[in-house]
Amino acid sequence: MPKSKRNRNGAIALLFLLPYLVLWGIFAFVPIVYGFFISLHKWNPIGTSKFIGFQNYGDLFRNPRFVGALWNTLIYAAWAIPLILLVGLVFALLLRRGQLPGGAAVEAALFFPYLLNVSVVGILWRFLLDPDVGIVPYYLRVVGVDPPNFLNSPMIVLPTIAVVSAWWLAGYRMIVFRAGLNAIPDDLYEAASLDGAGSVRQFFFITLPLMRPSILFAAILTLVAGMCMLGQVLVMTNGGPGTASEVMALFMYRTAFESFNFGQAAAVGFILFVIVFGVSLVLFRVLGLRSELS
Amino acid sequence: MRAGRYLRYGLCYLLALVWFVPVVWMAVTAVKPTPEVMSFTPRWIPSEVTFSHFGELLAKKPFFLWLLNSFQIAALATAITVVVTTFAAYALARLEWRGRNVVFTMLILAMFVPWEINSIPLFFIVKDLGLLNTFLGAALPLAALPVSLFLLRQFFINIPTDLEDAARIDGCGHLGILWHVIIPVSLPAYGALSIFIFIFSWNEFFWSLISLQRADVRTLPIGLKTLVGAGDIQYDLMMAGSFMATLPALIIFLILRRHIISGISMAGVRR
Amino acid sequence: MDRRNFMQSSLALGLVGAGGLSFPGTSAAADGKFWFNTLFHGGDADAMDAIVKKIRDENPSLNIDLTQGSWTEYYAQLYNSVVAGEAPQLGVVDDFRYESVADVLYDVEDTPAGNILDLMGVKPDDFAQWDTTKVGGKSLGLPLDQNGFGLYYNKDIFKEAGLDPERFPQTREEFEHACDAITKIGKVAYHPALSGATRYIRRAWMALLWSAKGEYLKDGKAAFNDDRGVESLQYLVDVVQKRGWNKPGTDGINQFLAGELGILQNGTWFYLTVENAKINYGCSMPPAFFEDQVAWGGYHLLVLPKQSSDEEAALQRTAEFLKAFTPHYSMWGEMGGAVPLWNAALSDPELKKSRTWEKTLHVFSKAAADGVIRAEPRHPKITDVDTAVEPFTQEAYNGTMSVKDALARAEDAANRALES
Repeated sequence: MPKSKRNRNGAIALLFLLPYLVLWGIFAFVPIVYGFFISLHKWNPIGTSKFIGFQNYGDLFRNPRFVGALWNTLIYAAWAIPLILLVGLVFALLLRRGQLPGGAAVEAALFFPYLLNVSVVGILWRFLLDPDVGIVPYYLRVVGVDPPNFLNSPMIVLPTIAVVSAWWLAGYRMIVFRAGLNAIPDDLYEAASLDGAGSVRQFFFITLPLMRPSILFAAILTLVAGMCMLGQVLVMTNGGPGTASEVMALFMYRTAFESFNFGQAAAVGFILFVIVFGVSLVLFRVLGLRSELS
Repeated sequence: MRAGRYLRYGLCYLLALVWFVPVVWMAVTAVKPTPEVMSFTPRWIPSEVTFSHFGELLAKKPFFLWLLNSFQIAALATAITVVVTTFAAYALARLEWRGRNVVFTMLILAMFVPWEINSIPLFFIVKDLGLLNTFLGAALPLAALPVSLFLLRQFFINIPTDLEDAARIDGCGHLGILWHVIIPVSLPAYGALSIFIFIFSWNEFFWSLISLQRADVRTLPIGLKTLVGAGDIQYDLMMAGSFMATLPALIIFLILRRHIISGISMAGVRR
Repeated sequence: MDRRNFMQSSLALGLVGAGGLSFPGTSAAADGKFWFNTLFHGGDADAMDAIVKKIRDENPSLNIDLTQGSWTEYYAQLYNSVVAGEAPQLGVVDDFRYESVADVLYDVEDTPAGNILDLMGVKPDDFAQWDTTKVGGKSLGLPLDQNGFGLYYNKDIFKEAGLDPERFPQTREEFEHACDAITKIGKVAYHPALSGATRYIRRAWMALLWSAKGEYLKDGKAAFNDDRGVESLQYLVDVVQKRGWNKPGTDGINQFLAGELGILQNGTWFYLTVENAKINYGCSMPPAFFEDQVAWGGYHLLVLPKQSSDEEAALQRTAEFLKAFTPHYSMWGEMGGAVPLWNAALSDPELKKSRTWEKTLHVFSKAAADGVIRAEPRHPKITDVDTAVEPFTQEAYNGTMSVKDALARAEDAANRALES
């Protein structure tokens, strides 16, 4: 293409991009920079703020509760991300192609929780998991299992919330993955069958490699969302028992809106940004997703 | 082979049942008389069906206002998203220009920024813009989500160029091409994008919690959260509220099921 | 979806969205409304609703907008609304969170419109316990009520366990005997901390600590990590870990409403909920578990958040509303279940004839007068201290940390919060 055309196109492209860029700049980019700025202050929204350098960051890393929140976030992510993806993938494999009689109803049942909002999900599961009146512990007792106290055991609370998240979100992943599965041409499987490959081999040598980019992409998006999980803990445990389910987003929310320490809360936000962005970037580069996305 | 298939069917039905039981339990609890709600042994069939919890909830809480607010914010976010991403996606997918790849890479990287963590600075920015407690303030950050632009761009880029060339020969400019060629063939993509962003906004929690502080602008998720008191949860009311909040989703889902599923499939399968 | 279909639906979507643009946004003060925002959410919210309805009828000129709900987000909302310049003219706060939002409240005796009490035509002496409003010598609110914990017990379970349902145990020995008797018949005996949420466990322990003559804070430092602290927390832990009166992690309110729990510690605000659940219940103060008879308690204060524009007019309206509110203090006690802090209400014969008074309020009212209900110490950082301590008292209660460790680490965390 001639150079002049490209330059003219550049001007038009800029014009077309402008509304989005302005929106993105004000509501996504500037907040990151501004957040960093706030984090360097003892921030007082109704008086004068004082510049204190990196003191908020120092205070945070000396605070065992913050370090605990960081740790909890990682534990939650380590449970929730594989669970959501795995359950979604299993559902997608089970429902692949429409031979299942009543498949639409099954699909609807599995997908439906995704349409509930987080308050409903949290309240409902709090009720289901209550040690006395909850039906989950009740039916576990019926089948002879001594149920743990799901939302009140430090070791179990985060995995429990991850399972609830999977119940809520896996249906969405199922639809996405199934679309990917259905896009794999049938002849690949037929050829493999002729070569004598069983369904397990077919899965590992055809399905998985072809699904890799969409799984990885889904994994990064789930990771980004999972690291910022707030609604579920806010409704279900409020960070308890003790601080066992106090994740970073909740810690940030409390620091800002219970202690009114906005400077430190902004510092939490910035640290979270660095971690999530860093991890995603590394995954993105190492796994070479860039070329597959364009 | 046959037994294997029936096993798979059985597993599917079982999973679907397990997955849906909580929703059923919610509905059953919502119509139970209060003293039966807190039973140590589950009662699936209430001794009588009562709608008093719904009445009590509607009398106590502005449930329909929450519903309307949620709907308006989601609609606003969706409308703004569709408009701004159309132009941006056209620039990213259909125009050749220097720096396009850089901008596209930035777009992908931007998707890796969890936007909730911006909520504290965003709170002050939106406050300075005078948009706190407004639907616009709640919706604009949602319309800035890079994922939307990404989805549309991925669709636009796969449109064959011949249509566009024909239009160009007919004397169409960029706006003409966008209006007469790109948008008409992208309707399914718009459906997918709208559904995606609408559901996302409908369920959005963190930012609404912070930016919508006044009671008259509360959304459904935030409003329902107010039913959880300091210590006590009135589960009969809660379940009635949850059930009512679920009902519109259920109805819309049953009507638009095919569109929603195919929309999400499309949003997801592009890569 | 065909094109026309799409265009129609997007048009509809756009219109609804555009509707969203024009709807809210003006501040309450500017449009002549009086905005009253409370943190009540249960029976007490219903009570306030009923009172405001009456005031509306009596004063049609007052354009009252009452919003309630969300205890957990209330303080954030209060603070943020002042930051945003859209604050309600009147709010309600708990005294233990009072100082953390002191920055955004008017001194009621010295507002831009003058002394609110003068505008209302009342004196500090008309309120009971006026001094509860003082922060650093200033009154940042008006006393609304004194609330606190008491023990609600299920009379049917008492009967079943062979106990006298009309006489609640008066000593620690009697209390323990009653709990053991209830445990024996297969019911859950005692829940000391309402729903079992973290902060209620801490509050239950604080009352025991005070009963053992221990202190929570002293001279700006945590003072609870001593023998008294250990003894009191151990007693609370033993309820679920040793004596078998309950299990950790249970929700006492659920248990009580299911008719499975003998004795539940819960607040004054539980009155309407328990009435609606049709439980045959009684209410009493806890016995003296150690040296003193103490229950945890607090105050609700009516506060005036700072206004961004037209302050005088807004404050005038506030005073007008408050003046109309004072005759309803007794109704607040009757329906909300807490002890109204208005002298005329406390001597109101109507209140004493009410069912609330007969069932619960006479107990709380006497306890308040006798000094049995005790409030948390006042400190600007008390909220941070409480949230620092709570995880550890809960871990001790759950049996995942020893009492000694829990107190040591709570002390550490509390002092850190006090220093920062």
